[in-house]
Amino acid sequence: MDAGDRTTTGLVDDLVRDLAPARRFPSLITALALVLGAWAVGAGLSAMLHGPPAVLLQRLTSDPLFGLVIAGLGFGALAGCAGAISSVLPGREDTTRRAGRASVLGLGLAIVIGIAANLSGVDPITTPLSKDAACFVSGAGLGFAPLVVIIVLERRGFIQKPAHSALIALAGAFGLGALAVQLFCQQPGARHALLGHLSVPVVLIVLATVPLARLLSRVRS
Amino acid sequence: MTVGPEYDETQHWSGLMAAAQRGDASAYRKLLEGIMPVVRGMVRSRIYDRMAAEDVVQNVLLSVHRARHTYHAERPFKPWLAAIARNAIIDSFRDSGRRRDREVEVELIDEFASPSDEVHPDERAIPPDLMAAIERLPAKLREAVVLIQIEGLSVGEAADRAGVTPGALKVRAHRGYKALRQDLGRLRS
Repeated sequence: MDAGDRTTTGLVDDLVRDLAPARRFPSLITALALVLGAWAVGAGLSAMLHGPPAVLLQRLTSDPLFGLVIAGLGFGALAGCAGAISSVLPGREDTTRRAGRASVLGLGLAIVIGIAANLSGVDPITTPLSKDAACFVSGAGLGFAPLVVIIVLERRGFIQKPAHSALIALAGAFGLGALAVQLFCQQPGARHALLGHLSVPVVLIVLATVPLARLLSRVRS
Repeated sequence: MTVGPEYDETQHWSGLMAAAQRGDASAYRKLLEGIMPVVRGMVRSRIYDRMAAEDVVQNVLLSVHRARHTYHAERPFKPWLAAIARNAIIDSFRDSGRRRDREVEVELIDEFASPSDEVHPDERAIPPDLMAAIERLPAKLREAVVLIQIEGLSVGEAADRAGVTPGALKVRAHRGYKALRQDLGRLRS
């Protein structure tokens, strides 16, 4: 046994002495439910303000593109939230990788449909920029509560790659924000959907990944 | 279905970790002593320097301790442990890059020493420009630089003194060296 081995044995003694019962990190499903719960509270309030579900159901059945955008946003946001949580659980790298890809795919699909609808002039109604901005702010606000829950969960977990955890958390949380405004906003027009709703996760990923990664690095160390 | 020895071992570790999560110290000791040779094997297959490898083994054990609440007993233990070990190995490669930067800093510090300072390193006075630059550092960075470079403490001792983890202290010291380099560079030009 050399000096290094003896130090390691000493470290084991210290760690055993330092042992205290640990409150286990919630299961992935429970953690995801917490994030969705935070989102649902905001989305519920937004639904009360913006319109009855009957209008939503009518749009879902009458407009296939609207339904596809909802499906893409929902899939991408859920995958992003799951990936953000699994990124702080050692041994779940495969889940994180798959969830990250699914998130890019879902959000990407929604955005591509939004751009295609704009270019093809399917729904050419133009809303004032102030309405686009109002929806953007609502989407960002509705994504904030799930983001806070994700950050709290990430802080409780074992942060391995702060930048990766930050990126995927923003995609998930603000994907949920965009989904909520897309579901309940009754403004017509493909351009409004693109600027006011679908741009929310993209813009916030670009703006907030670096600061959030720094924050996660700090709480890790 | 036949069950291999490795399956038995990892099942055993899962049980020990579940007991450790409840605060069972003897189970925890058995677990740490059981995984130590496995971790050492993983690390030494990537890092050939024995001392450096042992540092990483210790970092892995520390990370196992910090991350123990993230383990779920119904999931296999070995991928959880392997992910922590892999992460510690990657961190050590990053740290060795930072150490190379630090060696450059020490050369820079030596350049600032006046010819009259060519005495035993322990007795050498700190050049006034350098001392002034250290004084200008933000408090946390200054503390890390002073503890390691002036008081000559090891990273572990310095981290204890500052009340932070060794990783955090290394990061602060690295930022301090970077800020010093910029500050001294401005002075020179």
